[in-house]
Amino acid sequence: MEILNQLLFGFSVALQPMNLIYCFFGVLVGTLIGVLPGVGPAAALSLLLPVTFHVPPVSTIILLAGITYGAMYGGSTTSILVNIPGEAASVVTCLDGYQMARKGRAGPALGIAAFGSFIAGTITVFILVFLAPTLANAALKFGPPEYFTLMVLGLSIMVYLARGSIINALIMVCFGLILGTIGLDPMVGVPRFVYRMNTLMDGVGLVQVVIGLFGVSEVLINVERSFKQEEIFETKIKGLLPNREDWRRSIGPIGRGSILGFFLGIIPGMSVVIPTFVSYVIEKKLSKHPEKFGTGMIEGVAGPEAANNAASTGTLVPMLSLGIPTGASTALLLGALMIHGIRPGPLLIQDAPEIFWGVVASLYVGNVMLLVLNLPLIGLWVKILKIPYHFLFSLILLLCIVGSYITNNNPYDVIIMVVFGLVGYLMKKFDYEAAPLVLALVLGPMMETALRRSLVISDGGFAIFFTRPISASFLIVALLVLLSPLVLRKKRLREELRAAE
Amino acid sequence: MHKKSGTAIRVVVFVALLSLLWVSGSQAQEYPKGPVQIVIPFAPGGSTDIFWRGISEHMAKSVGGQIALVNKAGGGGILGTSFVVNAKPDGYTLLSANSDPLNIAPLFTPDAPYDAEKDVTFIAKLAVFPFAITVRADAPFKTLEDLVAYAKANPKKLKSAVAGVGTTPHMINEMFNRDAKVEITPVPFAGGGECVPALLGGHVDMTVLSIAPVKAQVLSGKVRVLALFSPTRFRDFPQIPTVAEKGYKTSNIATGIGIGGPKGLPPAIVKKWEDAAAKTMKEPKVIEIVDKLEGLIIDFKNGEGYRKEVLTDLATFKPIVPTLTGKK
Repeated sequence: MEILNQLLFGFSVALQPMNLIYCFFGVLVGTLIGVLPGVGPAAALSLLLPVTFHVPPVSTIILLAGITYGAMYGGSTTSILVNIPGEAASVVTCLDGYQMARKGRAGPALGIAAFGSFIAGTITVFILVFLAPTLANAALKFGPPEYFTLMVLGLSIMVYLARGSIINALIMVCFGLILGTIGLDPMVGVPRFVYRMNTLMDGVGLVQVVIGLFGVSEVLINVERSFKQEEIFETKIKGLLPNREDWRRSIGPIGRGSILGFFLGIIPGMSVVIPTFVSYVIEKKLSKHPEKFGTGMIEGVAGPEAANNAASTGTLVPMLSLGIPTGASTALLLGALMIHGIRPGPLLIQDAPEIFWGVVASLYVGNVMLLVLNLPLIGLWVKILKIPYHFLFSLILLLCIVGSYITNNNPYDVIIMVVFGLVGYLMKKFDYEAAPLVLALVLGPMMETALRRSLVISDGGFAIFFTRPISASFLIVALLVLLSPLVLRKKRLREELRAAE
Repeated sequence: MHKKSGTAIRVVVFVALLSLLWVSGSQAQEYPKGPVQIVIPFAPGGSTDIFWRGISEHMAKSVGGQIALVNKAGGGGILGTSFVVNAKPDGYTLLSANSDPLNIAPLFTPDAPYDAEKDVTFIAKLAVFPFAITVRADAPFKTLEDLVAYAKANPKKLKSAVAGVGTTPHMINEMFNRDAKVEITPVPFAGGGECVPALLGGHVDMTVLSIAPVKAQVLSGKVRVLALFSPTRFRDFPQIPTVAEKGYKTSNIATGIGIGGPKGLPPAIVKKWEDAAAKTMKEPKVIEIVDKLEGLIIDFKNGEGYRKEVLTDLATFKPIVPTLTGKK
């Protein structure tokens, strides 16, 4: 009851007219920057930070938090419409979302992404309220060995991500892992595969790689198709909102995606990217038609979209209850609060209850606003696909170039994006999928640093991975995942393989 | 009707000419005529970025112009710094001159695209991040002496989280090892934000970290700060001794934030920014903001003073880096 009272108090803060306006402004800006590829929420937060000095602290965090989760809503839009992931967290949404759009079902795809995010937002707000402090302390149990074994588990599910040939997928995984080693060695600072190019010191940018592999390569393929007079988008639009059948299929993925995203989001250092991949793979595993994933299955949009929204709520847990920022966005939120003289941390709930509960309530209010804001936009977005492709593709390329430049304001990043556009084109021609590459590129560097940190901590002993309970259980699950097809679904795997070859 | 629209056109022409006149009038003003771009060589959300966002409004007022902050992250600050070093020295492209990309990062890069001594104009030092040795509250070490005694008895046993390879805390860790004759193993994490959970979760024994991320933990009694790498004690924690008081040489190394530009910057422009920076860092409102950001201390120095400091540290770090990268 105590908590409910405080939540009501939170709503009384969040629903003040001024705070509602700030919340609306935040989610609007967030949606816009989410739509624009390359601009992450951190850049927008940083730009708006000086403005917030003149705004009361509660409103500040409501505004800034609105941008963070607004961006998660907006990110799916370009993925679904034109196959450009707005940010790395919506790469997975491209796989089935874009295929739905090509079949004239962009509306339901965008709709389920918005509803999925909303439901995820609602579920996670309640978990946040009841469990935040406990969870934050549990997340601290994750040290380098746990990260490493979690990454091993992540890699073990990679095979299920593949739609076609498993061998090709494994080749892409290795390619991604190799790409991930480019840059300054994270432990001793020796440059690797940099070839005296300073742009490569931090490795190849994830955003540039995904924009190239997905956006640019798709444009190249489509230009080719339009020369052959093939139809790219089915122009007949089949519904603007998800129908009853869509809902029936999506509700499970949304629920699972929310829970999964939230718990993975809490772990410091885990990005919002990984939960989306995990959610996709789980849905594919659970589906009765795994072979249809990648051809426009709504489950493949609903689950990951719920997961990335839930994960961005999850990242607030360590920030609010421990005062630990787990990423650039939360660091900016923290900075904004500190300039107002408020220090998030274990004492926040006692010292500034209006901040904690106000933020929690505004998360919910913001999610309602986002839904109201995004649903009418769907009609508008879908109309974009009516533009003849020979006009549309130049616009898409422009978005790709701007998006890859704007992350670091570095012109060489555009070159990287173009190179990966060509690589992506060849990959499509020869039936290699981009998704395993992207996941490997995300996991690889995290896995490497986690492994090497663990070994420094254990003075070189590998026992550290087996003696710690969480770490050991991840390894066991990974082993089960790897062996399960051999034991349980040998037949189906064989069919899948045959279908692919 | 015809005549009337003719008048309208003439009014438009008049206003257009008048506004041109106004523009040429403002052109006659001295520097800065347009917005000055200050390149932050780190990503949005880092402590340097937040610092600049906090003070830029006041700095702009002092210099009498507009400031546009641009993030150009990459290569531990090398990309953004080299962008400014290669820019036209017209005073419209300046640098958030952090000490790390000037005196540490180039040592890790075989072909650093600039030389802090020759290619950079130092304008002023604004602030500094002091670092501290922090342990968990339940750790057996109550003082720095306890820690050193344990480290001496157990070489390589203590693991220390540092915020990344080739950063000031990484250097401090190595220099403290040398001065105290101990072997504390540094474990590089990706930024200070990852060091705190690693310490709280018991995955490392200690951390060399700036004050800001640990302060909330100190107040809630979860961690204990043993000693501060700073010439003076920290106002908020007067009970914490400095490393210098304990008799170690590694006492005065910290990450500096300043303003810089490409070489050949006109002296008048340097002077203008130096004065503006001196004025800004004395403003009560700015002092208040920097105070609240915690762990940052205002430390104004003129261009020459900052230059000397950066180059002295560069000379100190130079012999350490090869032992870290294994290229002795």
